[in-house]
Amino acid sequence: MHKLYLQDMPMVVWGTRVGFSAMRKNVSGYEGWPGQKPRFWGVSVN
Amino acid sequence: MGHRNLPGRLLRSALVIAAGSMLLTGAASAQTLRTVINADIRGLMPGRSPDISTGSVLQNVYEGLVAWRADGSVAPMLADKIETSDEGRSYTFTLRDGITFHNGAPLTAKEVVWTWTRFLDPKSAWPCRGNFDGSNAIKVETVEALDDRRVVFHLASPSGAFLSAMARADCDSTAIAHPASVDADGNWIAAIGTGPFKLAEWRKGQFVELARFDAYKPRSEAADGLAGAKAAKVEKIRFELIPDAQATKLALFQGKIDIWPEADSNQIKELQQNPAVSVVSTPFSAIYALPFQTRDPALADPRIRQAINYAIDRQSMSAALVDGKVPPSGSLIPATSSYYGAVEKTGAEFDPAKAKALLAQAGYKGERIVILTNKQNAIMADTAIYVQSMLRAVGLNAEVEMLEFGAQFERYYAGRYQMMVWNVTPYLDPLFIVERFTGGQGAPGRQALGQSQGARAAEEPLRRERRRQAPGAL
Repeated sequence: MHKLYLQDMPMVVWGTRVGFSAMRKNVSGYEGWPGQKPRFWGVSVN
Repeated sequence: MGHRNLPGRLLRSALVIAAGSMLLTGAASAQTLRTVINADIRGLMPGRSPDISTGSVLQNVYEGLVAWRADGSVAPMLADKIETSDEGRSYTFTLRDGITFHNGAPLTAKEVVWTWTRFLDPKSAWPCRGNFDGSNAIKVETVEALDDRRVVFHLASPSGAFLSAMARADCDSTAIAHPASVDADGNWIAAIGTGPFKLAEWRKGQFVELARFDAYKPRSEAADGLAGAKAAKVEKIRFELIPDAQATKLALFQGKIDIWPEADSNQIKELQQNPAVSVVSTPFSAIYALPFQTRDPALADPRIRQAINYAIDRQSMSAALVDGKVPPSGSLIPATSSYYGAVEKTGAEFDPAKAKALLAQAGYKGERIVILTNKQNAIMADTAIYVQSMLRAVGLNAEVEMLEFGAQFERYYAGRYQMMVWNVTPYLDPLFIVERFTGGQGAPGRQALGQSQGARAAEEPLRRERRRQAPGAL
């Protein structure tokens, strides 16, 4: 299947996406996840 | 056909106690979490826009009947129980008891029917409608309230993908809204959902503020993806609209915001060096893509497109753009997926000699190839620049055209491009990544790979897997 795709090459894929989140040290409980959109439940700030 | 009941009451009552003690610790802090969106939200209707800003805000406010776990499996959210009947053509959802909307009204089957009637009405121009109107394998024929707590969806034919389609995060989990969210003319003037936070204020062009919904009843299961318990631990969440990455970084360094969830890939080193800041990286269930307009004369010959594939040095791109965090892959299936196997790892080789040979065979005569991208998203902009130089290195006459994101979005959906940088939204269920490019009969935005037999072939095993799964199995 993938081979057929490579033959036809309708779109180049160059990798699996990766995301970065940066936070101040007062934030706890935040976790990145494969779904990208940030989840703010379970997160607290001090 | 199967009747499967979702989590038992026993488990639920045991965990309510745990949730109760969690609330006590949360109550001690009356704080605001200050975060950022780089574009304003595009509206208040669930599933109205797949962009990250809108979804990031609305997923706190709204909930659907089901939700995706982190691994792409489907869990109940507003549903307490889901049963299938009529050989997989009917799905009966029993709603959780005692759930209220942000305006204090109880959640009943009536609001589910109202929301879905609105979703499926062509006049609403709901972008996710194509997933449910028969243009893409699933056709919802009717949505009916059986009583206050039960609602039944009748499908034209059984589909193993129905619940996963309902859970799609780009459609805001097909969330249920209260009818008072809409004015007499049908405009969405409010966002009255059932989520852990309610919309407090949307000051267009400036910020969105959410406030904790005190009557929220978290589910008993542990938090997992968009599913499970969602405990609001802060009083408020304020999403500042800051389009510029440099300004966002400065706001974070100065303590004006607490978190930058979508930190720019080209700022990572500087962010890591700041002792007040920590950085986390996460692989997404998503791909970095460069779709071609295969009808374009310069790209019609598949050998040209193959040449472009071999001209790209994925390893160096990853090192330069994303701190080397991305393993090179040429597959539509993200490496995070359980469907990503040995075969999917092939086809990502950097082979400039082969690229040049393919161009010669195809009789390439220096036709111009424009790579569209946008300046709002640093990695998309940088990707285009890198790809341009790699293509030039094998003799392709490549150029970059930098657009506003909105303009690029329109060009993508209209199919008006030769080649573009397109970082695909995560779909935890990879079926929808593939389907996004193959599915539908000429539906907007779905034509990119519509002509591609190869892409259709990649879709087939995923569909087969869905058919094998018992309908409604969660």
